[in-house]
Amino acid sequence: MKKMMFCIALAAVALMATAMIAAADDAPLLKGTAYVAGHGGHLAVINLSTWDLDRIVITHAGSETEGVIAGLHLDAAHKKPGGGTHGAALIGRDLFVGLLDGRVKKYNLDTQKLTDLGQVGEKFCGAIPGPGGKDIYYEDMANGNVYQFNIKKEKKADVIPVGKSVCGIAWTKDGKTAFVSDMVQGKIFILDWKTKKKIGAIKIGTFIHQIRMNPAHTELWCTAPNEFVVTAKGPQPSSVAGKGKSQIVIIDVKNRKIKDRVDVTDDQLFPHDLAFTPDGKWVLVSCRTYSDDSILAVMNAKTHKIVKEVSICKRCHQEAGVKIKIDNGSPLLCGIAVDWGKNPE
Amino acid sequence: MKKLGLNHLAVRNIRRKLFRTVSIVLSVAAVSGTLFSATLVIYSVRRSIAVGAGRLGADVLVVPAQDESKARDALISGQPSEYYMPSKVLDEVRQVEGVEKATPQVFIKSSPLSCCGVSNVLLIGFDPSTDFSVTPWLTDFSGKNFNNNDIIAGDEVPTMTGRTLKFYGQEFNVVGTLARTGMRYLDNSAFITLNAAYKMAAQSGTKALKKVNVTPDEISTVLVKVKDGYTPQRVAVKISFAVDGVKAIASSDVISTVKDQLSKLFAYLLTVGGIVWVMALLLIGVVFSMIVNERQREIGLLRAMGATKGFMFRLLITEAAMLTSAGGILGVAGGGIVVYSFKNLLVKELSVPYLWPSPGLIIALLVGCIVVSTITGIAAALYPASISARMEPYEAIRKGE
Repeated sequence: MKKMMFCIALAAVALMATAMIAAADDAPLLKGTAYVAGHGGHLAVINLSTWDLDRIVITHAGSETEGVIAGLHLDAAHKKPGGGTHGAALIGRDLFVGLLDGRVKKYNLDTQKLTDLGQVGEKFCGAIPGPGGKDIYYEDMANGNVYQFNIKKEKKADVIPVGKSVCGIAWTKDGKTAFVSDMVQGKIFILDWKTKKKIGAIKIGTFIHQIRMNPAHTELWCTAPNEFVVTAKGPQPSSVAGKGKSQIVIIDVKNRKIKDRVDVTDDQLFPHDLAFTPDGKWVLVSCRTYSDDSILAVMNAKTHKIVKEVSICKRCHQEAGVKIKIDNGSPLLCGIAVDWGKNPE
Repeated sequence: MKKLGLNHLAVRNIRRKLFRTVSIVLSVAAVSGTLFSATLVIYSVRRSIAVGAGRLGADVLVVPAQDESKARDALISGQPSEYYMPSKVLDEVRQVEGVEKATPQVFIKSSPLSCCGVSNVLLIGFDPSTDFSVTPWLTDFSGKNFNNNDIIAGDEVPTMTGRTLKFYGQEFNVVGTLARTGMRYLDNSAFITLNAAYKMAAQSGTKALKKVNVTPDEISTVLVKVKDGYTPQRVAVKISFAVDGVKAIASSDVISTVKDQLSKLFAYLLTVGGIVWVMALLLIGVVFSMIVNERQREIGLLRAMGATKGFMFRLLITEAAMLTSAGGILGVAGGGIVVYSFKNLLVKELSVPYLWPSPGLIIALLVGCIVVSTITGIAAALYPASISARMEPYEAIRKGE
């Protein structure tokens, strides 16, 4: 009898453990709304509970290669930047959206009012709320500057020259140190935040995009889809976008060293931005596919397994009969902002 | 018997076909003229900007936000403009991170109604105690202390040292004139002290036909020098953010605006010049091939009379060099006349400052353009000349008949 009881208990424990492991790799139940900026000039709005899709139109479409990147004209036919959104910071109920032509627009989620806040930089990648909550930091792909934008005065407060083509910014917990990712140099620069001077760099070695700090401030995650190969002569395009390794690079904040490279090449995902859930257990990853869709993937922050992939372009475009005319026909998304705990009304 | 020299033969050949000669000379003149005039204009504007920016001495200019475009226009095209902001802006600017020095200036346009003064001059009042923009020039005037009755005149102001100038009923002693910068903002201005400017304005109601409406609690601009380790662009952003109602402009941004305008013009001229150059090269090549073909009998006879292969080669090259160097000289002369004649129109249409380059540079440009033209001719004639040199006398005479 005792033996039987022991076997049943053992089986129950095994079953529970299996269930826990299985549950860990199941899609989590999330509550919130994600806003993902795209070259089409609108934000994809995703209900994280139902995965329903909507959109907010901010501006007209524009490709990333139009105008200047890191001082270079990659698209000789389009000397001036077009429209297109690339990142948005959510402050209260206002989305402060950075555009590919360096303008900033504010969209109020309650009143649906869109306000043009004017020319701030040249070509924005990331739009990240600063540590004090008073400013948003826009990273510029054209000139390598980080623009400090004051929310109250709604104008730029500082411009910090960092690299050649910067995309993301993140801070240590004490706010004394900042990390800024430079796409074309494949480096994350470390800045003393008081003096705004560069004090070091972490070499990633691939073509990188956004960086995000996990909620515990122990890991800095960097998207490295590697559309270009970083060489001594500068970025050289891969023969086909994504031919190289597409990765999420994880950096140990304390040692400032790479601790992991999560390869998502086989998933045909080219991650551009990330958003951690407030508990730090899950990561939403906005990914390009360079095909007919862009994807929002849900990754387990511990096991680094992708547990869910949701179409955030094709679903709408197909229904509306939209044909993409820029970026070789691929809908390209980038920056993500999440309103945790609030689903769209 | 008179010996037939190389140059003598070449000149005679050139004279034989006048229309062909003129066509080649004119096409080469078009190339060298375009090259010379485009380069001359670019160098002149660049020099003017460099001299003007050096004279300005400020990294950042702070102006009223609503008058930003007026200020930019004034800097580039030198249109005298008046705009004012509260003088407390100066203290606020000094508090901004990255500002090393800040000094105020006030602008007053001289009256167009003035009977005994100079009209349409920008009077710039500066503060000698904090100034770093105007006072460095005072060393040019034997270190003389600048007082409230003194004035320094820009190059375009019709006066000279030792004379007096009268503005709004106030008389000033001209203690010096500035060397030409090409920027009308400086050349068409006269500098007085801030106190003198306010005093003149206060008394203008009784002493002049027109009253100047500026009070001591108003200034037009604040000139800023930035600390080491800060870029002017960064400090400009910080000032625009921290001080309400103003716009800070990095002077290098104004310069880059002009450079952008210029680079478009330069690219256009270079494209046109490049097309004309290729056409001229082809034209000369074709014409000299025809010449060789036409003169086969003559070449054969010369060879039979003892002319060497080298002589025949040099003969054609000399002809080409003579024609194209003549074209080069004509082109630079024409280009120079065009630029000199239309300089004022160019400055007005492009809104750019203009200062002729140094004589040394102009001579170097002249020589360079003529050399390029001559090399073009020689390069185009190389192949036909080598064919003419390789011709056997008998074969050439027979084919030429």
